[in-house]
Amino acid sequence: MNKDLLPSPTYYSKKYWEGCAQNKLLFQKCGTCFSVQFYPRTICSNCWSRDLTWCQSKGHGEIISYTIVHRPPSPDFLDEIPYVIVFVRLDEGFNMIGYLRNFGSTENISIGRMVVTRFECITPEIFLPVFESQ
Amino acid sequence: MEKRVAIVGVADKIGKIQNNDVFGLFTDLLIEATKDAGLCRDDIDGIIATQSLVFKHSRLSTVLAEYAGIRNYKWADSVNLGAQSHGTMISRAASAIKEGMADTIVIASVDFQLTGLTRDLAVKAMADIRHPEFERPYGLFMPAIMALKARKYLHFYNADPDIFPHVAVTMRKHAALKNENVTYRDPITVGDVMKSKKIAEPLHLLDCAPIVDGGAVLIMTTEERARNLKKKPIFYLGGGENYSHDNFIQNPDLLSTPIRSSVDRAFRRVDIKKSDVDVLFIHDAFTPVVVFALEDFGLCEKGAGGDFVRHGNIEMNGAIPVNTNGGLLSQGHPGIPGGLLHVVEAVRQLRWECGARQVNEPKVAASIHFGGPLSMASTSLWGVS
Repeated sequence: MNKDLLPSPTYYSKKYWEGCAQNKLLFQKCGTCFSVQFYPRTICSNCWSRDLTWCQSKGHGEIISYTIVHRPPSPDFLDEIPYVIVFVRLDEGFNMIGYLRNFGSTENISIGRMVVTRFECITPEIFLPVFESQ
Repeated sequence: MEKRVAIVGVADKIGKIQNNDVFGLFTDLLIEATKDAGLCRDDIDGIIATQSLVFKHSRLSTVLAEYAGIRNYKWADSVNLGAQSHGTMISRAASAIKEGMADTIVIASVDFQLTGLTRDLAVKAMADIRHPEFERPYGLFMPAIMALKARKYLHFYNADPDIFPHVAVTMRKHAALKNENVTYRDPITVGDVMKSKKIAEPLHLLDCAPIVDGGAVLIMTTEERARNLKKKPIFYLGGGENYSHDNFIQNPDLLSTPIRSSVDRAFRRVDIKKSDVDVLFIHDAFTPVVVFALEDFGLCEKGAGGDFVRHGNIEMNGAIPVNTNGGLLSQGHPGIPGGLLHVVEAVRQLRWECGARQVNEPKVAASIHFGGPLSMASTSLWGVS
């Protein structure tokens, strides 16, 4: 991955990336209103509480939508095309996007299909969460 | 009674524009718009502009004014809300005039994405603003975002994938009625769109508006002054805005857009009804937006927007002509300025200046703008009285 595209963890997302490097998908849960949030923040965006706990997701979710990209945003992605971006609702109640890997044929991709997280090593610090079929 | 404001001068330009830049084109358009209005430079006492991807400057409005020799004016603002900026600029300018902060305000948006950046760099620039940790590493960019929404729509409503190409075909029909300021005029079919290069499925190349250079300038002033100028004043009746989120992953529902609330908020502020609108403008950077906006405007039920287009309702002689300038899809898409070109066309339609593409005696127009990953929207309403 081009270093310009490499995620730079912030002081509040650092924990998330440390989790990824240990094959754990972490998200934040509020101790005051019990809502979950993704991406990580310093406060609960629902109630402004700072009482946030990091929880580990099972990494299971459902494809809400997907697209197969043939024309990438920049030459940085030429090695990836065609690539599949999935918008996933995790079982714990938050949404993410990611690449869909190891799906065999594109006919196997459909809305409603269950997927599971896996982590791809980009650098020793950055493991990128992606999805594959459950 | 509340003070009213009107657009009195307009100018726009689009294409591959050589030997010019953001400042030169702005000044060309400003001169043309002041002539159109019958005003002179010294009549201008305010300016509002939105961002350019080529010339990145947080105070673009005051730099543009300086270049054009506008001095000691009373009011300035720069709005950086991407393509949604236009509805906001119009509303801010109207408020400033109504409050007496200024009398005659220039509203401007100019960019040079084709010659100043190239199409590839313009696409990349739009991808660079995605969330750096949770979106950008996955190659998410505007066509993919629109594709994710379009795919969900097709699945949920069990709609035929040809509904989006029908939008592109209709825009091309409108573009064919133009002789200038148009990028593509040759007729296309649904098959042509479906056979064009895949970009992000289900979207093809012809579902995406082609990037060009261009810009627009409008002049807004008080009703009193407008009544004494050259052209028929086109009144800004009111508008509404809605800001839902910013990063795509925070989208609360792929099947909804912030357009609906912006439309409802706009109509709550005016004493006209949606059915009074004779011609509609939608920021058609991608074909699905038109389908979503028609539904959000209340012209048809959710899920019925595709058939609404297919049955010719948004064509020149349809129930409500949409984007009579050929839309960004065929006229060409200068990036952020695109929506302001739609407002220029709305003004010309209401002045009955559109020649071969003139809608039959329209009295009310609406322009819908959106920004970000369809995360914010505005609706502006225009009338001849």
